Order: sequence, then structure tokens, then C-alpha cells
Amino acid sequence: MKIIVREGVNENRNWTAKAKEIADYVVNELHLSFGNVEFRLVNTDELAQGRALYLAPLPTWYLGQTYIEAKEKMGARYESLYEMVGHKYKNTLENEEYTVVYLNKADTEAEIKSVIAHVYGHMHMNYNNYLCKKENGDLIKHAIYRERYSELERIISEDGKTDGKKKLEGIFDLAQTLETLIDLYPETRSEIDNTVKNYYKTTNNLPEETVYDVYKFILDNAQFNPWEKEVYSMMYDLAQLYRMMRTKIMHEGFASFVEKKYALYGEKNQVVATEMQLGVDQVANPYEKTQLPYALGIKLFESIEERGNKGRFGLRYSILSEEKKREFDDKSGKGLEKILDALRFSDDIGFISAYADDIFLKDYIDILKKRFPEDYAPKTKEEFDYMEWVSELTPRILKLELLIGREAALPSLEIPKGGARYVGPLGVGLLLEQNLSFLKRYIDSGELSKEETDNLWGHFTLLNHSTADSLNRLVKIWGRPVYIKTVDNLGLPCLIGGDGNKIKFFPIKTVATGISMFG
Amino acid sequence: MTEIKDSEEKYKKKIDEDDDLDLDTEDLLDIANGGTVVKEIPIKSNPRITYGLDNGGEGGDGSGAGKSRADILFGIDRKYILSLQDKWKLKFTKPNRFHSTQMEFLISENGLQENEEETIESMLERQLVTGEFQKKGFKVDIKEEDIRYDIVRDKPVPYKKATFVLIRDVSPSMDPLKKLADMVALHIIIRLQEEYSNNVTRCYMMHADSAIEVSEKDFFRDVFSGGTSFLDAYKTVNSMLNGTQYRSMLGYNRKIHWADEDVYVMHITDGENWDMEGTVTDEIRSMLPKITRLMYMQIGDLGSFLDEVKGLDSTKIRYTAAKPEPTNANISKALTDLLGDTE
Repeated sequence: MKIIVREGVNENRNWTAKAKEIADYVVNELHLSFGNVEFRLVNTDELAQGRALYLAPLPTWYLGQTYIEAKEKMGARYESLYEMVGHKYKNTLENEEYTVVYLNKADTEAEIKSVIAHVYGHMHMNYNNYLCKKENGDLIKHAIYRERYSELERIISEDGKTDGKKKLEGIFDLAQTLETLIDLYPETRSEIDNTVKNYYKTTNNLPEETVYDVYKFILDNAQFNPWEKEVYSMMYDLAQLYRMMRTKIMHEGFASFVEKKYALYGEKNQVVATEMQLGVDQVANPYEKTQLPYALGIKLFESIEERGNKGRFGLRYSILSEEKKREFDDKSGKGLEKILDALRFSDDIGFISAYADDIFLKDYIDILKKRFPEDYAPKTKEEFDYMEWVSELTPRILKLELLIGREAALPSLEIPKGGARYVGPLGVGLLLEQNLSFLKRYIDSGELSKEETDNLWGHFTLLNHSTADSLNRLVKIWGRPVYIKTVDNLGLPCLIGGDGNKIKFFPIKTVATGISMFG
Repeated sequence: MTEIKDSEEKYKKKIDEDDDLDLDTEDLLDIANGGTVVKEIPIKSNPRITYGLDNGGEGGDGSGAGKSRADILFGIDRKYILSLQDKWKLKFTKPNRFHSTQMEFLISENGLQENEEETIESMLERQLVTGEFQKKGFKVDIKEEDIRYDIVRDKPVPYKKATFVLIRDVSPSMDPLKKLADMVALHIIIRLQEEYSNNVTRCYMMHADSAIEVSEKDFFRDVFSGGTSFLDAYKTVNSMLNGTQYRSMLGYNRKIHWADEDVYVMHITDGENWDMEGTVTDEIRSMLPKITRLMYMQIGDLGSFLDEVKGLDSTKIRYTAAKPEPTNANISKALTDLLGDTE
């Protein structure tokens, strides 16, 4: 494994030595494994550019906004992004592949070292987790798309009358609405032998089977002219990065865990080590909702490590009382092994299900309760809501919230068999059904009580203005009416439909769909 | 990186089209004085299918769906304002009669010439340094290393000139519309200062029931009391064109040499005029042969003078009816109607 730190075109030998020192620790002590890394020390503006180009690869207003926002926040050191794991590139002289990571020159030594250790954690995930191996953004491809997008702008404007930029921007805006309608879990779908099916095709259903990747279906079946389809295809490809949400907690949790380990045991300079530890604590703040992946993730990895070191797994352990569990210690010392196993095969849902046991959840709830002293009077609505929430938390409820939160990270929509020719109240159109089958699992198993379930509908309904606006856009793309089957805030199935002129709401019993809410 | 620059421009354009920029008179004054004003622009996002009810149901994880709005701090400076105005142009139609001087660097192709005086001086210096002068005395013996050339010469450059007369109605009925009028005027001033400072003279006039020429600073003072008469304002313009006397706070009366320069007249008003019908349009008709363009901007629905202006039916007249809300979009549309490049 090769590690190098560059500043401009030259190597920064001082920082290369430091980065190698950190790599030695994480590889030898934590048994991490990953490929070659090239760190690039850049200024704030370059880092903001890099971040913006990663998040918004196409040269649109969205890239401009993302860049300005990143530059402003980094400049003010507010929610600063300290690093950006970038792209793989082939060093042709050495004939080796490197992952490029950008570091902010303006950071302190402790901050840069924290970032390097954090990045090694991310890289281990990228190289070893079965889902992450496929999910990295390819910035070479992004650059090609960017070039092609600009070329399309020029080509479309060639007649001198058409504003190519405006035209493409219109498609980009529509495509952004489609972005979240991809299949987050394609690996779970069974392969269908289409050759046999097509030969014996007896129906004209479109689609023949339930389609989980709504964007792909629209891309393949809507009426586009060639350049429109090209832009939609680019955006579809770029939208695949949403799948990184599946391992968000593991990624950030593990990277923070590695960073903290290095700060506690690897860094020889005590001042730097202390600053690094403070930095981790700041980022892994359990009281900030946006920091949940860091806070929960790092705590869970620490819990796995402790349990693994003390042999707190398996049947022998699971039958003990809570008191005995907390005392159990067979000194097996397999903490790191357990962590590395967990990283390889899990996504966030599996991770939480398997490792967030009652003891962990109780301890985490105690941390959450410590935000305010016992006799504290809330001063804002946010504080009041937080205290109310925490007072009602139990391990079961917290686990459910975490699991359901991950499973429902994005609304899951699918097109049922024949859904592209659905005969609806506004005419024949496209039907999208919300998939709430994950809730059914919890309801059927009794983990969710009826009262709790009734309280959830308001969270999972899709009846809101954003969905209505999205529906209008879907009609524009599809060219015919589009319907979405969802639930209302009482959990009753309903349909909303748009035909380009109006959006209408239909309670389900007035519409004969014959389709169950839970798929 | 050019893609970032282009994308920033696209974003700025979008802010303008969506009218997110809430600038007021103080902001524009700061910008006109060379400052930068920081504004909060809401983060834009395209709608997505999201969870939750509109009135407080919790959204999903975020990640582009149900994202809470935050603002971007955006710096607005003259450059930004000018980028909104890039379609506004003045035409210069009168023949070139004015010249400014530029320096031209000479090269052998365009007339590099020996400067005799400097050549002799450098020859003398060489003779003194080498001792040749002491030996032989002064003798004109120019060697190649002595030759000095004229590398710069003055070059007269013809340029076209114009006078821009900005008239605003400051009668009491304009009081609720003052902010919009101020902002329109500031947009014009910024444009003229930046793009045409060398060859366009700015001239400011206020009127209620009588008109007076004022300085740029006084142009933004409060409304006058009294009635409203457009006639005196247009008579004053004619006085400037004819070189006759008129009321001025500047201490002198100007004469606009309309035969040699273009003349633009812009009138900002709510259209409520107390003069007898036809009297003002007669005054405008006498003015039209001498000017390049009359731009009439009526704000709001109350006034009727716009119909009289339309009745004049001249290619030298442009008019617009602006909504009274002092938004960027309104101002931009109105000024594009009046100053937009129609070619």
C-alpha cells in the first residue's frame, strides 16, 4: 500500500511521513486494509469546488449553489467538511491505482491528522463492505458527463433560436425529481429469465412484473427525444450514489471510531491527541439529529469492541440476566475481529438489528437524557419536543425508530404489474405504489402495537405539497396522468392523481384497484 | 475552473428569474458606492416525493427528500447588478465629433521612428564614457547602439457622446411608489457609471407641479407637496436642448448639443398629470426631432398619461407600465422594455 501527500504537483514529505505513520497504526493495530491513497492538500476554495463537483457533477445552477454554499460554510468554519474522499485514478508511471483524497490546507495539524485517520476508516469500508465496493462515485465519468452536458447545450443552441442552457436546465430540474425513485436494494430482487417469459408472453401487461426501479422504468418507456434521454440517463447513473445511504451509519461510525482510536492510542503528541479527541466528540454529538450516523455509529462500534473483547456474544451470553451480562468477561479479546466481521457483511439495518442490543440501547438512552439536567425547564419548542421524546424512550422504541428510520430513509415506490396502463379516475396513466411492507413486518410480529402504528401514519403518508409538485413533474415526463397510492394520516389507503391540470385525491374504496396496501 | 464559473452564473440567473433577491434602496446605494451587500438567498431544491404532512409531520431521513430550508449568504456587488443589466444598451447614432487621446505603442510595422534628440544625447554619453570626447571633441558620429526610437505616440480616438436626462415625478401621489422609483433610478445610475462613464453625461430633474434640475444626491430626496405637471418637465428638457434658461439647483444652465450627441430622456412617474390634455404631447412632439429616445415608465394603474404617450406613435418612444411592487423582477422587466437591445 502506498501513501503520498501532495501539495500542487510536489510531494509534501512532512505530511507524507505523518500520513504513513497513521497508516502504520491503523493497519498494524486495527487490521485495516485498503489500497493506495494520494492525499492532496488544497485551499478552501479548491476543496469547496471538489465537494460541489462531487455532489453536483453536471454544470447546472445546482452546482453553482452547492459550490457557493460549501465555500461560505467552509470559509466560516461552520459545518466544515474537512475532507473529501474523491476518485480513483491510475498513476500511469507506476501503473497503480490510487484513491485521491482532498485535505484542507487551512486546517490545523490535529484536524488534518483526524481527517487522515477518518479517511482510512472510510477506505476500509469501501474496500471490504460488500455493498460499498460497488458504490463509489467515479469522478472520471462525472467529468465526461460534464463535458457532454456542455456540448449538448452548444448543439441545441446551434440553430440560433433555441436557448440550449434553458432547455437542458428544464430536463435537469425534472430529472432531480426522479432521482430518489431508484431501487435502493437491487440485490434483493430475484433475477427473472426474460427470454423464456418473452417467448411465452400471453398478456400485454406493462410492466410484466412489479418494477422497483421507477426511474429506470420511466427512462426505458417514456417518450423522450435523444438528447433528453441522454440527460435523463446521465442523471440516472449519478443517482445511484443514493445507495450509499444504506451504509451511512456504518461508514461514518467506523471512520469516527478509527479516528478516535488513533487519537487515544496512536498519536504521540499529547496536545494534538487532545485536540483530535475533542474534534471527534464535537462531530459525534448525540444531541444533533444530523450527527446521528457519527454519534450512534461510533458508540455501537465501541460497544461491539467491548463485547467482543469480553466474549459477550452467543447463546451462553444471551440467556444471562442483564446484571450478569454487564459483569460477563471471558477475556476472549475478539473485539476487533467482531468489528471487522460486522463491517464486511452488513448494511445499516442489519448492523443495528444484530448489534444494538438492549444494554447498548439503554446506555444510549442515558446519554440522550444527559443533554439537560433533571430540573431543566425547556426554553424552545425544540427543547420541549426533545425532552418529551426522550422521556418516553425505551430500548424497544429506540431500536424501532432507528430501524424504521433506516428502512424508510427514502419513500419506496414501485410500479405494480400492469401499472403503466392503469385505468384511473383521470384516465389511463402510470400508477406508483408506496411500499410499506417493512411496517407490516413490525406489525405482524407484534413489535409495533396498534396505537404506535396509528401514530406512524402521519409520518409515512405522502400527502403533502412536495409530493403534489413532484406529481405534476412526473406527468410532464410521462406525458399521461400519474397516480400515487399511499396512505392518509389515519393509515387509510388513498390515491392522488395528476393529469397536468389538476391534482386530485381519491380515497381508495372509491377506486377499485384490487391491490393490497402492503404489496 | 470554468464549469464552476458558468454554474455560478446560471445560479445567479436563477435567483434573478425566481426573484429571490430582495434588494432595497439602501442596498443599491451601497452597491452604487462600490460596496458589497450580503443577502440571504433560500436554498433552492426541486420537489421530491417525501413523507409527512405539510403541517408538521416528520419527514424522512433527509438526503434530498423533505430537507429543511436554510439560506445561503450571497454577496451582491456592482458586478452582479451589472450582470442583470447586460441587455440594456444605449445606441450612439450621431456622427463622431469628439476625440479623446490614447497612447499608441509604435512598432516597426506601424511607424517606429528615430528620435533624433535622444539619439544625439545617447551618442554624447557614450563618447564621454569611452573618452572619445576628451580625445576628439564633439563630433556627430552615430553608431547603431546610439539610436533611440519613438516608441509611443498620441493617437486621437473618435468617440460618441450622449446625454441621459433622468426625470422623476416627486409629487405626493408618488410617495407609496418612492422605493421602486429610487431602485429604478439606481439601476440606471449604476449602469451608466460602469459602462458609459466616459461618454454619457447624466442629468437629473425632479418635478411636481414645476420642474428643477438637481444633483445626483438630491435626486433621492423626499417627495414635494403640490400638484403634478409634466408640462414644465418637458419644457425644461426643451430649454436644455435649445440653450434657454430653466430652473436649476446646480448654479448653471446646461446646453445639450443635440446635433453632435445622442440624447436619452427617461421619465419615471405614476402617470397622474394635471395638465390639459394635448399640451404635454405637443411639447414632446417639438422635442422628438432632437432626441434619440424618450423612455416613459409609468408605475401602477392610476395614471392615464400612458395612453397619450402611446398615441404619439413614434419609433423614438419606448414605454412601459410597471407593477408597483419594488421587486427585482419588476424593475428588470421595466428597464428591459425601455433599454433592452431590440436588434
